[in-house]
Amino acid sequence: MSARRRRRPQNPPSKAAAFWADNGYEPGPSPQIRPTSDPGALPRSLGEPPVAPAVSLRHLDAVYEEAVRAATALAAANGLVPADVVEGVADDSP
Amino acid sequence: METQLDQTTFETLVASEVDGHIGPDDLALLEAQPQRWAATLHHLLDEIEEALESVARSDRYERDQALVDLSEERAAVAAALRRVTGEEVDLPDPTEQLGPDGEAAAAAEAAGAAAEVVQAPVLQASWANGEVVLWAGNPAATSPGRDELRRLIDEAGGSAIDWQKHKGAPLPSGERAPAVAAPLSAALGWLVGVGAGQLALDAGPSVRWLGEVAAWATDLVAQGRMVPTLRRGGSANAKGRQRTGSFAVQWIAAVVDRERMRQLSTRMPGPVRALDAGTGPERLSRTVLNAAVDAVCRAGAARLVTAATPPVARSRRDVAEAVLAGLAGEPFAAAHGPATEVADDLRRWTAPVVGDGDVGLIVRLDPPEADGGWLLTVDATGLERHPLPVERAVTAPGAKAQRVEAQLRRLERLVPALGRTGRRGHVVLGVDEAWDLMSRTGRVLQSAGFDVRVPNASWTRPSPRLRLESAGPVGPARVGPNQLCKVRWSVLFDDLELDAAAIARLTAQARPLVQTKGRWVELDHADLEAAAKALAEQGASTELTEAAILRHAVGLEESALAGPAAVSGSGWAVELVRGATDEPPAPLDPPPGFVGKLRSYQAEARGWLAFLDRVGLGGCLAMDMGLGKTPTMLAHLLDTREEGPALVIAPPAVLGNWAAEAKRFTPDLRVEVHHGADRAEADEVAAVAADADLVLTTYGTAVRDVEALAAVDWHRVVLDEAQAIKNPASEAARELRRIPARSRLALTGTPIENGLGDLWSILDYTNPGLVGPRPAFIQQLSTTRNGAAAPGEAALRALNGLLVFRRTKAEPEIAAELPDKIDELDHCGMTAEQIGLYQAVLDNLLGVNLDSEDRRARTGHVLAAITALKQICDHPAAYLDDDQGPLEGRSGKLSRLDELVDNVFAAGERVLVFTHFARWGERLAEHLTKRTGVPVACYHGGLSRGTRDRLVREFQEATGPGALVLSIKAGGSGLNLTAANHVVLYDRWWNPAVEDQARDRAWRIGQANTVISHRLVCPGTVDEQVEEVVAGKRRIADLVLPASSSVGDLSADQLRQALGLRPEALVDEISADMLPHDEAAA
Repeated sequence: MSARRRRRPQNPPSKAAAFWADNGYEPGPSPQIRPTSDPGALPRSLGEPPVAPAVSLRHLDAVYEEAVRAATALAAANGLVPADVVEGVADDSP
Repeated sequence: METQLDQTTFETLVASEVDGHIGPDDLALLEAQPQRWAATLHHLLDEIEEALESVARSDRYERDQALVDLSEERAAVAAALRRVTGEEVDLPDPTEQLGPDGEAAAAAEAAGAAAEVVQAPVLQASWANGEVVLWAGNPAATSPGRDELRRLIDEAGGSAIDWQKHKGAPLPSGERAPAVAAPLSAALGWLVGVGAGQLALDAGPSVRWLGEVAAWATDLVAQGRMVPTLRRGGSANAKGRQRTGSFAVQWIAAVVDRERMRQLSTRMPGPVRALDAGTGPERLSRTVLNAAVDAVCRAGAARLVTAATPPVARSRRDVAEAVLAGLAGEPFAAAHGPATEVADDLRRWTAPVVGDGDVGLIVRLDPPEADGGWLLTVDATGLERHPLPVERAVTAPGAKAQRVEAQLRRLERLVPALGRTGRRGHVVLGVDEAWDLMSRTGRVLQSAGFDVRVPNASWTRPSPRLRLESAGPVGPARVGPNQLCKVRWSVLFDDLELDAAAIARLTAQARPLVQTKGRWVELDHADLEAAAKALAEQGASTELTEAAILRHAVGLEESALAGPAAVSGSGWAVELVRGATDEPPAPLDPPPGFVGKLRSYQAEARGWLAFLDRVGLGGCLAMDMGLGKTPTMLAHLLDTREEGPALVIAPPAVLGNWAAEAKRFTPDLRVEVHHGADRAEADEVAAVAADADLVLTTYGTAVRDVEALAAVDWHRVVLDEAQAIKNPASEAARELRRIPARSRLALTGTPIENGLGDLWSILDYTNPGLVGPRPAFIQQLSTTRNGAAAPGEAALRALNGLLVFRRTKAEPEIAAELPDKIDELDHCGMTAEQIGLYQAVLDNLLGVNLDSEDRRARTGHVLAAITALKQICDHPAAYLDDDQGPLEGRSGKLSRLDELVDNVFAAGERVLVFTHFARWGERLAEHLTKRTGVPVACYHGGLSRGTRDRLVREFQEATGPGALVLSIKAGGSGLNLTAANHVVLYDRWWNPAVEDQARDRAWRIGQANTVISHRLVCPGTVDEQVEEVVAGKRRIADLVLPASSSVGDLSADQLRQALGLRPEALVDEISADMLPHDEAAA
């Protein structure tokens, strides 16, 4: 018998109950999305990329910028970006 | 006809279908060759199984992630096989291989015991092979049909998506719920809206769960937390020397919060897995998250143009280039060997950010100690219960140390300063580096997955403000503005106080950082230099009078730092400022004996007036016209009647209004009117005042009787319409200062008509000498802190609550309290010319032998005379047809109109002026145009329809100050003139309905402001008779006047009584009353 089976409760839920279970899910608060000011920071932190190093970091940077822009637009369209970011107003906190 | 595809292209299509990214045309090509499709899927499964066995034997730390990825691929291919052939593939439970997911699955099953039973079918969402599948259901009822499903999708805001028919969701009952499906990329925008809580609020938790994942994925990409991977998407092709296959870039989430992922998968609602029960919740959660990240990244990457690549990438370099060109996810053909190598390279490169995240780094920046250095330290988490200095963590035994090392290298690449010392994770930063970390790089590091703990910083640079501390009296203490005090100077930047030495030290720094309100900010060098200059200028002044301290507190003293100084310490001025600003006076209810209520702002004004009395100051009650300055002041006068008599000096037009309002609101006040020919003689004035609480007089009379009035011990002198003394050199302004009083108050709705000099004149009257010299007053209030020109209202705000109480109709809380319409009655004087003409017309009428005329002729004579008398009340020029002389100074009504128009224009508002006499209306329009410089037209029945329409349109469309004169016959009804919020009824008509109609030109639907209507009346004349008739008419609504019978039946004596002048009631319009206006005009 597997470890998983041993941990099962003595009266496991029926298949139907497990199928319909909401597992206590309640949506959390909507996130406030503040896009990064440096989209290429994460790949830069990883060092030279293994694909065509001479040009890849610049190209990756551009793709990261576009991806961050797409995500920001998607978030803004759904009201997830704070007004000061959408309007280009500098937040008091840097 | 069947299209023949080469194997590589065919495999690419199969892989695309597995990923759910295939178009209908390509799908048709696959469906045309079902056996080849199935064989290709089997091929793919074999390859994945091989890879799984290989990875399972690996001991590399990215092993678990690779197993997850390959298992996902295997499940997707198996599901595709099931779709194509119906064949079930027996897949070993990957959770048995991966351990932790198995626990999550068991937890999910246990939680399922408490499944919620819902009664109505709700929208549900499941995940299946890159697609979002929507269906409807609940545990207690059979599945609804497709129509109901469509309705639920509509309600959830998802109807814009091109949902395709799906085979259905298998329910525990054995039936299949009708379902529709769409690729995640198509449904992503909708799901993010669901995750944002904007859509699908009534949908089942499975829909909202997928929405939360979509929103999280969007957040991750917005933070730049994703990396590309290279996935195999098709089977090998053995043709040629190298086996080739289909590959594609897939973006996955990086530096994912482990705890959040665990929480999300534990709470995954059961229906999410309805079509993929074989996949554990955590793995499914990660799959959905990665798919959403991939969809967003593909959308972004697709915006870039990429270089063409070879049809088949056969070398490692070719594959690398194909990867770069394929970051938008397009599959490409590549030789198996080099592609696998590149995929492995990518996996190793990204391993530090896609691993299980069991170690982390804390980046901490500590503010400088005495030596001035900012210490940056790095600690590692995940090795022991408490964070370890990273230099120790990297040398600890075990594999975690390697992972800490990888994280530290990442950090060092982003913070190069960490590499300049021999001690890893420990460096002292310069001020520029520290500011950069606090203001910019800190957030970048957070996005890259580090725990950043740096002091709070703020972009908002604090403006410097002079601070003046009053340290007690010099010499014998005398409470009041003339007391000399010791003072100490400094400068405040928000809550940070700096003396001259500190400012000098900061000025010398390249980047002067200070901490205010718990945040670090960078001070501006120009501000520091201005602060140093201000301290150098003021530093020599170690003693100041209380008056000077007060002037500093309200910004009336010149300084290199514009604006008011912050005053502290003790003394008359400090307490005064504290009492007005820190602890503003409480509103006061009306005193006993006051008939009526005060609005909230009037009660506040009462509190401020009482405050002025307590501190021994005068002030200017500067509430907008129509806000009720008179009743507010009457309440205060009633409350302080025991202190002694008050003298109110007002223009003749409002004198009667004062008397009427006193009678109405404060009937207990003993009121005397000192005005007109019958007023008290000079030697009687003191006795009159002694027997009165309130003496009312006009400016002209006050100037003429100034000696007598100055001899009275007034408790208070109040100037109404105090702009009358705006010219300090005018006779009125000079003479009125000679009347002493313990309190001087000024009332005006427009304290700044022409400039700040007007306000200075008023405040210098109410508090002589306190506000300093006129030029300095004007200069200091003309500029804001940043040196820009300040409008008049800004200057009033600077003094508000202390020397001025300003409220305007534009303030929303005040507008909310106001009625829609305010009617005011203005009593206007008669000039000697008017009186002479009036008497002549009346004598002429009575000189006719009325008794000998028949009734019709007699009535005609009387009515013609009444018209003439009314014209004379308007202006002599309104009666004398050939009078083309100047208009100023000949009519009390015109003087009042000029005052009203001045007030309206000063407030930037618009006014309608109605008269019964069209020709007089034209002259009025010319007069107002000449006087104000603003073109004013006259609307009357003699104009063409087109011209009249144009006048209305131009008046409505224009903005800013403006006026329109209208004949009441032509313009009294049917027009919409809501651009105006003031109406002047220049002359009276018997029927009040005509006046109401005129006023309602401005008060109609569309009018956003309170409309103030002024009726101009000359007491003691026919005007007043009309007024009384009108008043009677208002009580007897069905009466129609003038009734010719009643007029025609009057005898000569009765006519004299009805139309004759009553000298005791006339408001004496003498030249002195018009002095300020004459002088202003000059």
